[in-house]
Amino acid sequence: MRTATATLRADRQAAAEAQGHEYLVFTIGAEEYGIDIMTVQEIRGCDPMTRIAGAPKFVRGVINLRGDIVPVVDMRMKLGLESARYDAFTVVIVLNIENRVVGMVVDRVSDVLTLRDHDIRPAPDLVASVDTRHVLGLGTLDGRMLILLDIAAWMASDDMALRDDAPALADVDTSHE
Amino acid sequence: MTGDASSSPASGGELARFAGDFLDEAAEHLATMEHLLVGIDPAAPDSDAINAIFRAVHSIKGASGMFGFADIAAIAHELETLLDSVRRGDIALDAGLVDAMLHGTDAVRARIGQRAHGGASPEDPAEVCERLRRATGGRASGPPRGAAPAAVRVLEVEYRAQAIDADALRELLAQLGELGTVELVPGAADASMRTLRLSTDTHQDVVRTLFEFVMDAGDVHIRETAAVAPAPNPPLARSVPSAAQESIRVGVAKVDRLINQVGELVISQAMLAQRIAELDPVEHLPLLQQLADLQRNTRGLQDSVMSIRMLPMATVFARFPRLVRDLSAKLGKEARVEIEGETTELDKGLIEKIVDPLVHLVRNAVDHGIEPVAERVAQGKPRAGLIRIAARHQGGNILIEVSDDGRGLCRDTIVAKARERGIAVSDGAKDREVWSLIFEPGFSTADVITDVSGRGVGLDVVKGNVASLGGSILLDSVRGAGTSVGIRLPLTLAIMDGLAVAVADERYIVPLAGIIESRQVRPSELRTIVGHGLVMEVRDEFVPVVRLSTLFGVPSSAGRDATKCDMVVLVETEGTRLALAVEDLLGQSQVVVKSLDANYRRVPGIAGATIMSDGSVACILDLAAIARRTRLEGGPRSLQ
Amino acid sequence: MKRVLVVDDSPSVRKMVAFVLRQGGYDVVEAGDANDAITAAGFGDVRLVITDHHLPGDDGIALIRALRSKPHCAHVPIVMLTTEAGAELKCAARAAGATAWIAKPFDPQRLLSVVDKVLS
Repeated sequence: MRTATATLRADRQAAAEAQGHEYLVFTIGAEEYGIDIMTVQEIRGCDPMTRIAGAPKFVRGVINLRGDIVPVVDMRMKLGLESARYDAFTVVIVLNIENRVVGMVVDRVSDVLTLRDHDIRPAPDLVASVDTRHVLGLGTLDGRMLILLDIAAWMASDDMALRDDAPALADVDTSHE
Repeated sequence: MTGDASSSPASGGELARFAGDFLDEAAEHLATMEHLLVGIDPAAPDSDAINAIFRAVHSIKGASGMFGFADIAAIAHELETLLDSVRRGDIALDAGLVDAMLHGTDAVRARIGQRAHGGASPEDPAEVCERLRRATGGRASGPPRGAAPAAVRVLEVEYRAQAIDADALRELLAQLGELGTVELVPGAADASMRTLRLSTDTHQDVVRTLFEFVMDAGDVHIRETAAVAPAPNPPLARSVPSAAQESIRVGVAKVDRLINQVGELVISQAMLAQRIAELDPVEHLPLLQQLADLQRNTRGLQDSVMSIRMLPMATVFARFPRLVRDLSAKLGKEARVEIEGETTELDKGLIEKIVDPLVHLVRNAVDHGIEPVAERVAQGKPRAGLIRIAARHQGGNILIEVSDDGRGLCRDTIVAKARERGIAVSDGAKDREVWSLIFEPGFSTADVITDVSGRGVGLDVVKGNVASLGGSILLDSVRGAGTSVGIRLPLTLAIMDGLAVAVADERYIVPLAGIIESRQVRPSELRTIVGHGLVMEVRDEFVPVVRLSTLFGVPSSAGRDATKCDMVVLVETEGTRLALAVEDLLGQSQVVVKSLDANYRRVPGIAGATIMSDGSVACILDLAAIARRTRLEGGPRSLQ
Repeated sequence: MKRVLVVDDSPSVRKMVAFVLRQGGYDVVEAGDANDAITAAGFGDVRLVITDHHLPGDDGIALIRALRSKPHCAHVPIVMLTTEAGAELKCAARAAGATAWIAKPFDPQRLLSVVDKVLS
């Protein structure tokens, strides 16, 4: 009985590896990036944003997402480019990471691709604008090169300053009486 | 009859699901017990109260046994025995006994709490039981036997073995064992019969009834060897009527979800209203009327739903009589509590958060406010200090007041202490401002630091707690007469009345509860004071002007004339007044408060956000934080 | 289904007893005090009453006497389910007309077997 279950599990794992992981692919500037599809809640156009006082430059503001207040990160600015254009064609990828919802503005969303382990290789110094901690690797498929981001870790990190336990970038009111 | 944890019927099995209900019920019984015990007069105890306490303990004992909570059952048993003796008049009640019972109640509560929420292990139950037994001097020792040691008789009982099953027999033997000594007599004449010899002072009829309860009369024969007068029956318990409660338990998560959904409904309806407002009223009259109906219904629904989370302040106030009693005894003072408005309701979430601050204030009142008896008498005051705790509604707020008739605050001492700490205080400062100094961190006017309220700890924490709930705190005092602390809180955190204001091209919401007035400002009312920036003259004081556009670094306001100021919203928070400079007033409305920090950080100066009728987000001001910052900086500087 | 009336002022105890009885295939109605119990028994289809002794208002034994005095339930078996186990109380209950006695804490199986036996 136990052997049969173990075999079944091993089979499933092998199948998963053979099948690979799904990534949402989007474009910013001249590069293509990929993130784990499981972090993506939805993709939508950009609603009017409300600026939040004291937010870092790349957090453009918050939007009303069916009653929840969701911050929006301008990924272009984060990657050192000029800010995105905010019009009817702006695309926002809404991420849900451990029940915290955050939106990120990208240039264009291409598609969802499946990458297997052997399609991915490490990418230590290739990406200048992103801290290597947040890069999972470089994916290659059909001649395209995708920079795979650990978007969940990145959004939770101090770098994004989206969380209270992260020290803010701007001068924060520390007068806690 | 209590089983140990492993063998109790409900401890692991299918009945364990009811344990939660029992814990809730037990908590209610404990609250009743404590309330009655604290209110009891040992010299002339109210027998109804005694019986009510007895019944509460009895309930706990019975139910706890079901779940294998042997520790709780044991303590409850001791309490029950004690109460039973008091009830029958076997022992007289005194303050020491009441204290012992209160400790017993605490012990049970601690164990219930541990089972419900986990946490530190409470006191060893054996010690608690021992203490209870000692409290009566060992006098209470269970149901009394006959008055004088009656002559012991020996009964021979013959019963048909098959007439009783093993469990029932076990119970019966245990029962007989309580009445005297039982032995099994071997070698009965008839193999189907068993013989017991029972040495007891109980009458034969009682024994016979016990047997006949579990088997046919024909299956048992009893023979006596000595005749004695039967022991008299003790009076049966007199029960006290208790108020029936019609209620349903609902999980908090469900209620919150319901409140959220109603909030969404309110927003949708507001958006609908806005669109419909653009239509020609004459052409669309029926539509407008139906919208008015919808708004009325939605408002009604909202009120009903919000009221679900409202609980009476009694849930908070109930603990104070006991607290004051224990604390004043510990400090060697006398103090009593008067409570007013305990039926005033407040949102459950706020109630939970206001408990600690209120406890702190009450402890302060007893510790620092109320004088020792001798001092009070010398001043012609009543022996016992009075602590008054009151709550009432005012507009969309609740006002809670803790006041005492003690020694009051000494202005000079406070001013001196403040200056010592480097806080500048002008001699002409108003009393209200001087009192608010004691809310600064590290401030304590206690000459003697007792372990009760801690070393200068607390009033600043209390103020912080209150502020974080969107409320404000005010203190007033008269030397020699007493001190009064008032806390104002919004009734609920979920929905709030606000005034929308335009700040450059952004919109913010000012909580209506803090607004004194809002109007245009005449240039003659404005003044620039060195070290304080722009101030506005309001009646007889200078109120700092805070430019919200500067405070929040609104980009579109850069380059504008900082001294120009058209509209102000005059607010008051925590005894401080501010004039918020804005571009325009956009209208008053009820807003649904949304959390900003569910997905983002906490933002200084911002209490939350809301969704406007056009679907966009607006931030709600945290007046207390803005006031604090302004006070600290000596002028309106940017929070960023 | 045979209907049983459970009388106890503790809602959690009532729930537990009801749960056990329903599992045993019985229909259950509950009452929190003697008055409600008499009202419930008045509907006429109660086949068995299980009651605690300590109730608000009239106690269990008073309830037994009251039930026995009403023609429609004078012959309904009544079982005392209570922590009290004193001999005098048992005798008083028996004198009032109680049919059987189960001590709290009760074993669910034991409860069912007593109920089954009494109703058979």
